[in-house]
Amino acid sequence: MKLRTRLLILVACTVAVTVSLVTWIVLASTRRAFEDLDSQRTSALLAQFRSEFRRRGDEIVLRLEGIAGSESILRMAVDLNRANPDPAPYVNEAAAIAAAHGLDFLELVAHDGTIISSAQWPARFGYKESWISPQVEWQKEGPFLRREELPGEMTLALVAVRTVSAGGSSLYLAGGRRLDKGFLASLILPAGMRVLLYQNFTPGFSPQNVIDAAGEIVSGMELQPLISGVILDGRETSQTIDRPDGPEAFHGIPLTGREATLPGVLLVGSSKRELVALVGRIRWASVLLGGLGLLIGVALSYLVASRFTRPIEQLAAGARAVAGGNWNTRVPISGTGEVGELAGAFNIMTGQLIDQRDRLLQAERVAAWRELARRLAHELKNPLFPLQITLENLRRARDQAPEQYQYDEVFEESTKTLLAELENLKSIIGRFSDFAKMPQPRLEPVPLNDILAHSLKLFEAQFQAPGRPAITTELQLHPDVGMIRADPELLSRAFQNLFLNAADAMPRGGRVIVRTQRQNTRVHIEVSDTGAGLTGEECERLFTPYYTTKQHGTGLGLAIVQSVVSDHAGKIGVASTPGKGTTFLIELPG
Amino acid sequence: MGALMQQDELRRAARELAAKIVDFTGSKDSVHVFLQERGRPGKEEGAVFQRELESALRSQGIRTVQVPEGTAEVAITMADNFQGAVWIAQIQKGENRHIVMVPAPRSTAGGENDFSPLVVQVQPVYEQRQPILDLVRRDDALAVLDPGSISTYQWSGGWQHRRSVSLDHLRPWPRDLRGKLTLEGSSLRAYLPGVVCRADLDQPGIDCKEVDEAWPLDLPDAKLTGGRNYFQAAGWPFFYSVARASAATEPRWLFAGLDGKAYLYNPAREVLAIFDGWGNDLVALRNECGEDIQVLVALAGDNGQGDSIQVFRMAERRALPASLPAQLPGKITALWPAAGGAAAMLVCHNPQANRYEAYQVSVTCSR
Amino acid sequence: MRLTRFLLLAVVSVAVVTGILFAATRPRYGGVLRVEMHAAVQNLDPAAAAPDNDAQTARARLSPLVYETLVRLDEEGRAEPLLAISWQADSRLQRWEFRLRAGVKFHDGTVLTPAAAVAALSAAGRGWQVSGAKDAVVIESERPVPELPRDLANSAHAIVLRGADGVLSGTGPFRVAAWEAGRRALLAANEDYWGGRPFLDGIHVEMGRSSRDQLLDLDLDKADFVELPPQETRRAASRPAMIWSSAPIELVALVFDRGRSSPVDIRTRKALALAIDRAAIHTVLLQRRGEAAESLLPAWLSGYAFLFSTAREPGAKPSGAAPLGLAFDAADPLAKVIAERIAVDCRAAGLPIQLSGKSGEVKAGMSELRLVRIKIRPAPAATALAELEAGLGLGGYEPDPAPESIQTAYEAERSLLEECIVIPLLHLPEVYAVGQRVRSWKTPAILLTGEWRFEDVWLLPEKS
Repeated sequence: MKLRTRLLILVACTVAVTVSLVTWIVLASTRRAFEDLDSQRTSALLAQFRSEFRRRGDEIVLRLEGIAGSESILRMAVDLNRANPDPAPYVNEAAAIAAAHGLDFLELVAHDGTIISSAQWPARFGYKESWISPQVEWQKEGPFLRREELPGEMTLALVAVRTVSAGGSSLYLAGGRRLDKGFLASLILPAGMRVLLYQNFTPGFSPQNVIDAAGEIVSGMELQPLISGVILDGRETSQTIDRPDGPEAFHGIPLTGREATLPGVLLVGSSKRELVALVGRIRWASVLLGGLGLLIGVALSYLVASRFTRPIEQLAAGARAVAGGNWNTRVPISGTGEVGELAGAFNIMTGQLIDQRDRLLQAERVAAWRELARRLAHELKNPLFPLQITLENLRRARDQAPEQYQYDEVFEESTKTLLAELENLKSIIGRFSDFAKMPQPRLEPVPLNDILAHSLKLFEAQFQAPGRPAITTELQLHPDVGMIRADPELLSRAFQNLFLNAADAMPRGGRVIVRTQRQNTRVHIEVSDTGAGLTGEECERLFTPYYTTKQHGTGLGLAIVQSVVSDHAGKIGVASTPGKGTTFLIELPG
Repeated sequence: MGALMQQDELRRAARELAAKIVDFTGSKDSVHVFLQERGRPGKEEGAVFQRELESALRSQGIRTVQVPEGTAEVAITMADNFQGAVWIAQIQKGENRHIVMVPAPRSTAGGENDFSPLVVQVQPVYEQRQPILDLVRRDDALAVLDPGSISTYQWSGGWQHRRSVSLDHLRPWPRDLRGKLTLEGSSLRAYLPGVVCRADLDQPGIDCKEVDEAWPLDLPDAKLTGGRNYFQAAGWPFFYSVARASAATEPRWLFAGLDGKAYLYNPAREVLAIFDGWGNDLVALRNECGEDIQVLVALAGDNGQGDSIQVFRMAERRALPASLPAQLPGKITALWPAAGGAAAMLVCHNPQANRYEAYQVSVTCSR
Repeated sequence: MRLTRFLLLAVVSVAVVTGILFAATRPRYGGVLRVEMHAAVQNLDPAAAAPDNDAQTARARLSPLVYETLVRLDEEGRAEPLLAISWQADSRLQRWEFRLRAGVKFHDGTVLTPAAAVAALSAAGRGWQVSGAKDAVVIESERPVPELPRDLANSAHAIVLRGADGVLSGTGPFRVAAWEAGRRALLAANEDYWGGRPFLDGIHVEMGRSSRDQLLDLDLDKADFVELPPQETRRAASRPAMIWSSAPIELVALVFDRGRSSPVDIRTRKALALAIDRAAIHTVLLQRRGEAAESLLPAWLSGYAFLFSTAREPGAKPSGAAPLGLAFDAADPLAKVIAERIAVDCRAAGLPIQLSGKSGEVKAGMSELRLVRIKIRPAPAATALAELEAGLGLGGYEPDPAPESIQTAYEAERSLLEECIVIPLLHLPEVYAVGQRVRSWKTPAILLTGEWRFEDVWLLPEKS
């Protein structure tokens, strides 16, 4: 991956992580702050509700006590305490008293629970109010919430009970006021908050019993789980409800009474719309900032990368070019910093490399010419010396042979020797010519293992020739090698040269091992012998044309091998350990 | 008040009713006929009708039995209605119940009117400063019982005092002293709490004994509870006054109870009715105005108002007002029968005059 | 029970008993009695139809003051002489002869003659053959009419002289001095009244006054004689006024619409009948005024009412009953409180009731159930029952007012009650609050039948 890309990724990640982290921290802080504020406002509102509840309850108690202490009620209690009292004259009293004292509900109840007069339901006289128990010390009881049944409707009422004792029995005054939208409307609500009241009139949840300060029936189905939970557990519970205009956190408070089931549930709702909006804004801001940061980061990274990576890429390209052989590569020097110095150094290096290569080439060329000259001199000297001797013999013979036929014998022998040495010269020159004009390979799919096996087979006779120590062969040809694109003749020739070389390296016999292996798109060929091995210097110069360690030979065999391998876009190497043997390593594309 | 049904009217109605009963029961049955009292008819009238009905049933082949062993029970009731009255027979035969009725109208001939409301006549008799417990008259002689003496007077253009004899008693009198005076011939007996005194209208002298004797009230053996202002009789509740409310064979009594209510009892001491709003004094009166017994009742006046008296006719278990209330100038302190039950002697305290005033109260029926 | 007790109850003072010592107090001539009523009477013509029951009743009260009949009913409902001094019938009770009182004049001065009586009675349209004899009127009928005298006491049979100009003239103790239809009337004393000039100089009648206004006027001494709703009796007792009332002549009842064809099943009707606590309504709402009713006709009228007494039992509650609609006159405070109490009683018995209050007379078809108040005309039981059935929209049987038909009346009433077509609740009297100055000399001003007799009414002098 390019440095620019890495840098880009790094910058992007840094920006993203930083922005995300900051966003998360800000959001968390914002949420916490909102929750704290919400909690405070809810607590304040609840305190206000409780205070108002208490105030109203105290007011009701005060009014009831005022009624209880009135002369008319006392006279009524005395009347009703007589034997065989007649409550009929008082049937309409409660309504008037309730109206005069600002109460919504008032019932005058005899000691046995019989309703004497009811302000809220006048027709219920004579029926029993079972919940007013004589066992309760009502004078000590405070106000409480209860469900009040009216003609055609139910309502919640904050009621209290006071007793008027006259003689042995008591007259109960049960009075109170509605707990309805009016009460809710009296609460001062912070912005974003609202108060609902669920009137628990039916055994199951009934959404139309949820009211707010406007008295309207609020669509309450969504509050059903919260309300039902509060009623079931009798404890305060909170829940956030997703609404079309934003989530709203509800805190449900049970409103207890004296009955077994809760008369009502107070719901304090706190809209999270602002929080959601703020969170949204923060998110958008973070996205924008992140995006901007990314853009800037990309731009910066691009700039930085451009400033740093281009010279480095140029350097890398130059290095690759140099590695590819183009030693004449120069990289532009941009900037004055380290990268510029590096580019300058690279240019100097390549320049020096070129010089050195040239010098080396020159030296090698000179060495190769020297070696060629030496080899030529050596090769040619060998056949030339017999030629010279033969010609001298021939001259001598001509000179010395008395008889023609002796001269003819010498001439015949000498011409044979001359012809043989000339053939030898021709061969030597032919080899040099062959090396000089090695043809370009004609690539085609060829079975490498077969070529190797075939090429080695050609030397079987030679390896097993009588009169010389045997050379065994071992083929470790991997079947996965398969087909490669190669010139079978050139390849075979190269392999033969290697086998020949191996044989030459084992005058006292040994073993030739041929291995093949495929590694992805490359095939590896190893030709190993168990000869004397080569030194390091010998390994380095092994593929130089006309370099040989043999006493005879042109020294072209391995050069030819190298040339063939090179023409096949392969590589050849040698690994040797003196005294152990030598292994030629060929790598070809497959 | 309605006179007794004429005999032939009763017979006619009985026959008609019998025919309807036989239509239901069949002519082979036996029936037990009995009268259900509901205020009407009077005992005599009811008995006559029952006899006529049984006779009519027998004439149609029904066997009448005296005890409820018959196959059918017939309860006879007479009820007033707008047209007069109706005889109703409730026939119970096994599980089946059937009701038949026949009208018993009054005569539709015009011009007759045999009813007139009663008028209370309140006639002043005597007055004095001392409380008057009771007084009796005989012609032009008057005896007055007060807490300390019995005084006699003679009328001569006014009541002229003749003599007074002091009452001899050891016990202190109760706060609300009650006393009753009776006159038989010229013999006076004064009943006071724990004391009975004998004197003579024409003779001086008095003989008082400390004795707890029954007072001469409508209820026998009634004695004034010692030291109190109310009476007791064995087996009866305490009462302020009592009046016999029925002249029928089976007597009934009205008791003015200590709780301010009046109770109507039968001889079995069962409460038949309770009347609220009456005072503590009541007296039975007899007159010729249709019914035989009326009850004169003292009614308490409101604050600042004097008491009043009113006559009620006892119709079985109901007390029906038979007169308008008569207003008195003050509180009634005594109310006793007088003139053999044809009138009552009433004493009230007039606060304005600061005197005790005695009146003779009688009832007339006139228009 | 007799009417007697009601006769005397009618003059019982509730708060203040005036000093009545008959020997010492004599009535005073002079003064105008100020009467107020809520009904609006358009005219006093006995033969004209009235728009509603209230107006019909009000006219029946006022009309006899001006227009007299041959016979009238006394306090016990018996026929007594009025314009006829005596009467007799043949053995078949089909021919009746009424001897006219002599010396009677109409208000316009015309002498009452048999011809005038015949003309008036013939116009009544009863199918009688009415003819005049020397000083008598003869009425012949194809069927026996044993109750003809009582029938003739109906103000519809008043002897009225119709002038050529349409002006009516009567013979009563008062004559019409001024008449504003539906608003007020002034009746002036008939100076030449055959029974003696009334003590009052006149009667001023204000119509169309609400109960509240009437009581206020009584308190402010602007009225002497006002209507008192039964439920206001207790409050009126605190006023310095007298309470005069008639016998129970009004039935308050629940009527199932369409009578026997009512869609409400009989089980529900019976359960409803048993659920209602009449005693509580009577004792508390009506302050014991009137009486709780178990029968259609009050006991004083039929005599057999006691046969219908039933105990209040819970009974089998029909389960899952749909609410029954109960229509009542929302403008009638008594109907409203009774309806509300019925709803409570039925609710406690598991019978939901849906109240539907509408101003004005409750007519058939308004609801499955109606709360009605209907006057009962003092008449033989059969006639009264038939009129009641007709008034309730139940389509009664053809009444036979013969005395024997008391059995038929009982059977008919029992049938209605057993099927719970009508559920009687209360029998109410007509109750009036009367000012302190008002006295009645010998006859009560309000008869048990509800009839007004103002000829004996006199006024105490005003306090100076």
